[in-house]
Amino acid sequence: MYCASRLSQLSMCISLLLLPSACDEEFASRTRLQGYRVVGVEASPPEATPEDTVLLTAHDYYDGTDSLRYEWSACLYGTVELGRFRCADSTLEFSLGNEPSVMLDMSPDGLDVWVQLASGPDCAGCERIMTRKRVRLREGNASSNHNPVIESFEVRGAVKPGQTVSLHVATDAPETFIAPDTGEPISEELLYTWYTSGGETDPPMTFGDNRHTELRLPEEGATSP
Amino acid sequence: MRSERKDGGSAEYRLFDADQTHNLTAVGHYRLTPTWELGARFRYVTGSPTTEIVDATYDSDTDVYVPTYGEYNASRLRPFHQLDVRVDKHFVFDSWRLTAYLDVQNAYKAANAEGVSYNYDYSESRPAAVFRLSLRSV
Repeated sequence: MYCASRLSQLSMCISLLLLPSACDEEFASRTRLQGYRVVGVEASPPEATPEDTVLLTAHDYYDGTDSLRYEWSACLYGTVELGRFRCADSTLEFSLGNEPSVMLDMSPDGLDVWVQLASGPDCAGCERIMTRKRVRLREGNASSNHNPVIESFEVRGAVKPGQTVSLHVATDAPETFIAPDTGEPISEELLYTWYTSGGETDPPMTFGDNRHTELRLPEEGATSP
Repeated sequence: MRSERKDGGSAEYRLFDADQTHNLTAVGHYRLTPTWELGARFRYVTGSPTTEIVDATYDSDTDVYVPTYGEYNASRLRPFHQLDVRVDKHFVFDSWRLTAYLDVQNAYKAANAEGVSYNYDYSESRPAAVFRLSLRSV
């Protein structure tokens, strides 16, 4: 006869839950620059009138020796569905050129222009990176917009293998503009993202008001950032 | 086995997210002595369908990578397999009986995939494996 009621059932259950990925390796940090990488497309001016010509510049990084190729295209009207961009019609697409920087004449129809860039090393089997940017039309009487400029960049600390240095950046003052819907003045918020080709940043990822960050330099013999 | 669904009246049938075509469970038991028993269970199940990310576009305005998905449920995770072993010891008294057991689940530490992990720009992927080693005893 069982006497389970007189015994507390001691259930020792040890579950070790680990979440490795394949062989416990992690992917490289988003802020680590490796191979070919596009870190941004700059439009100058960032907002344009229908009469403006916009200078588009690809800001990229490449640690190889092959030449790079660029294929710019623009679409006069597109849609974004679930994050994916589609040009409404192939007749609305046209090439802008194959240089790191190209010029775009804004549409006289008064529409935002979608720009796509296919870029990468010019070598057999090398993949191209697809980048897109929306060049926005400046509304009515809105004040002109300018891209921020880095006024100074400072490295503090001993620059030696394995050491940690502080990185500081100063930009020009945020612009103040009038919100078209409310008419109220708004000061733009500048966002900073730090990248490095060597070592590790702390914090490991940034996209905010991180005007300062720390960089642990790689050890002796490793690639300098 | 096959499990399919369709999204809406006129849509084509597609593989269900939990379509597992083969499911094998083998159970064994052996009485060593009147009070000692050994048991084991082995399971093998086809991996569930999954939708791969085949490409990505970098959105310069938002600083995010937007994935491009392949055909829905056109790929499969790797198969699930697991071995559980158990040993029981019976204690027989005059008027009552106690059984103690040790159950080791996932005895050879199979890292079964429960999904796919991607890096920040979706250029690399790995099975998202969850390793569980469970010891139970009473």
